[in-house]
Amino acid sequence: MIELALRVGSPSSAFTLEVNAECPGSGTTAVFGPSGAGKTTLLRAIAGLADHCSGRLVVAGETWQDGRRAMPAHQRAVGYVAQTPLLFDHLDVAGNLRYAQRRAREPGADRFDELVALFDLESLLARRVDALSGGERQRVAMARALLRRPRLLLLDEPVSAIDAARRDEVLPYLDALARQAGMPVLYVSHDIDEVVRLADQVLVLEAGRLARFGAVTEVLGTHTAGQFAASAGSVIDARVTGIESQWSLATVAFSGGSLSVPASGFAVGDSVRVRILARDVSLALAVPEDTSIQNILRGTVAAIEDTLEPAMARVTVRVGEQLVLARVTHRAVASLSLRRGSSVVALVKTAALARRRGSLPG
Amino acid sequence: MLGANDIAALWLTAQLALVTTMCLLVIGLPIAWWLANTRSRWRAPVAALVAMPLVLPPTVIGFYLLLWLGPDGAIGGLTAAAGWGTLPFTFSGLVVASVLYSLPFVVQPIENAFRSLGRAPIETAATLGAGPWDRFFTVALPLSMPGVITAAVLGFAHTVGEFGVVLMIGGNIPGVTQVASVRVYEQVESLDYLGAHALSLTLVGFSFLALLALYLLQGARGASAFAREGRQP
Repeated sequence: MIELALRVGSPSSAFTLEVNAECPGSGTTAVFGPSGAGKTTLLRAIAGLADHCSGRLVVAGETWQDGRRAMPAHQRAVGYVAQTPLLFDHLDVAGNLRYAQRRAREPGADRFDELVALFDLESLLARRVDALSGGERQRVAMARALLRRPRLLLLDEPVSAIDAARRDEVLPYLDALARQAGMPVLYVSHDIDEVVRLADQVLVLEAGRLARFGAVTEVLGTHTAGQFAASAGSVIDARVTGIESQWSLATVAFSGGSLSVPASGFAVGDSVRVRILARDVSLALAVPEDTSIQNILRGTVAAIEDTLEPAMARVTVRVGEQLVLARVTHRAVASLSLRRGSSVVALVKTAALARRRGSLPG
Repeated sequence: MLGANDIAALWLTAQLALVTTMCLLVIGLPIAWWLANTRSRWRAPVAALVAMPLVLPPTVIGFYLLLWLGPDGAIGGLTAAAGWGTLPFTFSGLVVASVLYSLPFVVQPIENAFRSLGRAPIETAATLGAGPWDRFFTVALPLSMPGVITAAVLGFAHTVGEFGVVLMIGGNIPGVTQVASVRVYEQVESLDYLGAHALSLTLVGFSFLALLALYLLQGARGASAFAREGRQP
């Protein structure tokens, strides 16, 4: 359990961060928000690196911040991987790893070899750090953070500094990290696909304030702030029930029905998250005939909201236990006489699948 | 060509420069660290004080040191009361004067090195569990080694090259306070140009070699010549 009630910022500074939240003692919490929202500041405050920090922070029963009294950074059992992690130039890769290992606060089993294997670092151990690629540096930094034996792992956009082509080299290790961690992970991201893939909860920051905090499916499905406008959509936890390899389609089932989704590399039984963008969903009162749309879900209207665009409305449709968002015109809402409780048919043009990683049970 | 007094002067100069450089590193490292990291309002006055020897004529520094360290001076009274005697016209007096006079040459390169490190290495070390002393000795110092070596070479060379301060505070006692620069002055005064040449050329050669070594080392920094020194087993 992480009890978080922090305030960062001097009285004279224009930007202040104020966050109150209680994160569970395991699982991955995404810290999400536009740049300048205070995501990195929050992580630095938790690590004990922020100036002018006050409030209360309790991690695994240990008080790290109480009012103005802060436990010094080096006494906090925290694994911190910065956006562009710093490796010590005067040490080789093994030296960087040993640096953390020697200072691990709690003695325990030697995980050096295990972590070197997990992050595929054997061939790099004797290398100088200035000869490493961005992805390699990131892997060294992640292994080093774990050798510290942290009770809380803080990852600040760990793949954003790596070019897209190289990202795939790191993502599998990141998944391994989240699985292996066995401790709460706070993961800063501004990439909604990453959040969908990795996170259990999401903590949304806007201008230094906590805008939303809750389960990923809940927060991303209902949040209406500007940053989500283009990528507004719903997230559904589902399971793969069939594969039609000749069409490259996977059938996924959830409490409200089933969907056929373009997918490859999945197997029957996989736990997945399905992301449906609001703009890919149309509404009808009855199932239309002769349509190219294959995915048809029946539900009831749970909410009709205005959006930033004057012509468009966002309709939340409850489908089984899940929510699906649809972006339709106000005129369509009027001509279909939609209101709360109306029965509708949601026509889903397309959806994206992400394998569930990390610690959530499927 | 070099007489016994010349050799004695060179030897004394080398001893003085070595002891002074060691004292300067011991004193200069913490001052440089403080100057590079503090946000205290005392930073500017302290930085100005440290830089004073760059501006002041050596005779002015020597004059005040002579007064303060002498039997009637504030510091001289203390050292006399402590049973150490007074420092002017002794080797210890030369060391004190040289340390003060060469302080900016040591503090400034080290301070610049610490400053250019930035906060990231120190913060990274902290999140890996290293306390303040640990961070200083295992991260800040090894990463700043080029600056520290530059500072040591400059401190040493500058001490070899000083004249005014040592003459004021040390006088000209062969074998005790007569360093090479003072010896050359004496030889020129007594029109012994041949002796002055011998000693002067020795100093010219030394200075060139010291600076050459410094620039070669700085040039090799790109290839991390220093960076490897701090490597842990």
